[in-house]
Amino acid sequence: MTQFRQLPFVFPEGRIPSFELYYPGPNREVFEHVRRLGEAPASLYLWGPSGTGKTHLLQAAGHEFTALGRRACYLALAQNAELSPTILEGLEDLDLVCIDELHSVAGNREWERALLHLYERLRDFGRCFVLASLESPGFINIDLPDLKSRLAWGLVFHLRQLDECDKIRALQWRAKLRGADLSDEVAKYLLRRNSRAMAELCRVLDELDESSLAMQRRLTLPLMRAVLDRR
Amino acid sequence: MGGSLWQRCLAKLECELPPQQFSTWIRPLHAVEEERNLKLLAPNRFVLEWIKDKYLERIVDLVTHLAEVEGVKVFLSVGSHSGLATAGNTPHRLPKSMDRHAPINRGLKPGFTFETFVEGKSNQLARAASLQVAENPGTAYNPLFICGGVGLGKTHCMHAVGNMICRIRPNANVVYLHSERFVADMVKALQHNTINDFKRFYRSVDALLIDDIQFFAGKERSQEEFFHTFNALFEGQQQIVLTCDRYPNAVQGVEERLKSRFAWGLMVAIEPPELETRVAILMIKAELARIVLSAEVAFFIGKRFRSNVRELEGALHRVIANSQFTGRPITLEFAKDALKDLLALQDKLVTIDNIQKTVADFYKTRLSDLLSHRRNRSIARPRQIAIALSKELTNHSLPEIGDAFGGRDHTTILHSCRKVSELRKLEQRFDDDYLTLYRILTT
Repeated sequence: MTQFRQLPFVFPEGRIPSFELYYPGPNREVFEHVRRLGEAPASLYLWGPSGTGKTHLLQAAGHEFTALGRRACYLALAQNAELSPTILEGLEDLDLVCIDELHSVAGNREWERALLHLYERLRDFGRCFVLASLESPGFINIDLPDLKSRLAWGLVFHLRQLDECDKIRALQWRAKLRGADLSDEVAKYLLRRNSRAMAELCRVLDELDESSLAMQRRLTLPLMRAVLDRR
Repeated sequence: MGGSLWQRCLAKLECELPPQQFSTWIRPLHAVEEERNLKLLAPNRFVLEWIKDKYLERIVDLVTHLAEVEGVKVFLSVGSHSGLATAGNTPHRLPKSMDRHAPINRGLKPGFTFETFVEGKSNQLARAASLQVAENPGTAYNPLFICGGVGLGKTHCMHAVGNMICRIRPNANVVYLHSERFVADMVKALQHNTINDFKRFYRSVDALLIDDIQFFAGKERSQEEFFHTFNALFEGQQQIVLTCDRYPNAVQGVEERLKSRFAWGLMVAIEPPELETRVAILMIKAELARIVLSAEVAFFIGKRFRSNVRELEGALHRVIANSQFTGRPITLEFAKDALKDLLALQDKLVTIDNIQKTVADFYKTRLSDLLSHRRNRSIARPRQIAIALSKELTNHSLPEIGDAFGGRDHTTILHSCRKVSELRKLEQRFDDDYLTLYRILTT
């Protein structure tokens, strides 16, 4: 007998970083500040190790601004080799500017000067500005003292990694938003068998959910073993 | 699917493209929809070229597919929704600051006044000189040159001068701008053949306030233009106020003839604020934010955040934000808890090891000499400074500091601190060295 495999419904919203998809855990306070960015001009500096959701928060803020008809942009400076500091020109016309991976241009004179002048223009225009980095304002290797002192001027937040319990809750939250039910047992298995970075865990969960839909089976351990073994 | 044509395109593109690409390149575009035209405005030429190269074809496809009428054309140019500062496909406009019909007193921040400037020992000379200049522009001290490290209030002082001139003489034409804006305006004027308008504009103001002139370094054409502007203003007894992060002689890449002109008027320095001033600043900032801040909390924050006012304000913002988030009143315990991340960073940042190494590097002595028992002055002086800085900048006890300096007694540590305090009053150079090291360690 031929077994029919249902085509999974693509869940594009699951790929789009939004506030709804963010599980704050220990980072509730910074989450609330980023969520309320549109209420008044503000400058935030988020720092913490990879996998704490900095990029997600910055992109979600942009998503929210666009939904409200306001202009925003997000720049990841790790790709600065193919970018030029001239990309910062005119950004004061936008309502929100998010700069990610600031540490990757630390020590680069041109980028540091361009960022300093952007900071001043955004302040003059009363815009919102969010910077994210692996390093705190005190430790980042920025050479230009004028820029460095401004990093600590706004609100500085240290983002923390989710612990194992929070990671399980975050995955269950994501699964619920996708309409699936992820038991503790399956979530723990997922954590044991994979990289523990949240981005990777979310990617695996999305893949599992799509397989579960295609195979019309619930998210159980046998299904998970079958899918993970196949990878 | 509802919404405007561009919103429908955005929804499609957001699903098609990786989030990073969408957020970087598509999100900043501003759309102006007219009957059969969709004008997309990019914030700058870099974004425009990138869109043209990588996404325009897909955007045109989507527009054709999603438009309710046929034949909608897509135009891409650089610009903003406010219509200001456009370039590229539209005719050039004079920079806003050079528009003859624009209002006078451009660029001044109304909140930066003498009333909101907290006076202390570290800035009282700069404040007094600024006040004199504001009351007698063009005649008291011209130029007024304010120098000092980052975040110490140079810009505030400068705006206070501008605001006061405007208050006394409401028709005065006062222009504040950052040196980078002067350079950018000049480059635009050269590009668009409006350099004569540029010259006329800057030479006709009653007071020209230029911030951070260290950024003129290496920009010869701008220096040339500024030189002539300076001369014209000076001869016309129009006031010039300049700020810089150091004394003119220490700025590399600025012409000598400019440096000598900077010294024609009065040079005043602003030093890092002392504890009482820091506390007063915190109280004023809290009052402006309509927050009740007890002296106990203000002293706690003031003692722990020492290097500049921005850092101090950042700490206060953090406490206020945390209080608003949790709904708890700002007590000493609360402030300690709210600032624990920032304080942990500070403690890590300024260590005795770090102080010893920085002082040894500064005086070009060996670290082992600093820790030795040798008493010749070339070693004893740096050692005393390092000890005094360790007491000032760390929370270590005196016996701990003594241990870290080659097993000295705590009374020796106290003696060194007293000696440094005396020498700072007696010898200007010694005091300068101490303040420079303090700044290096705390910035």
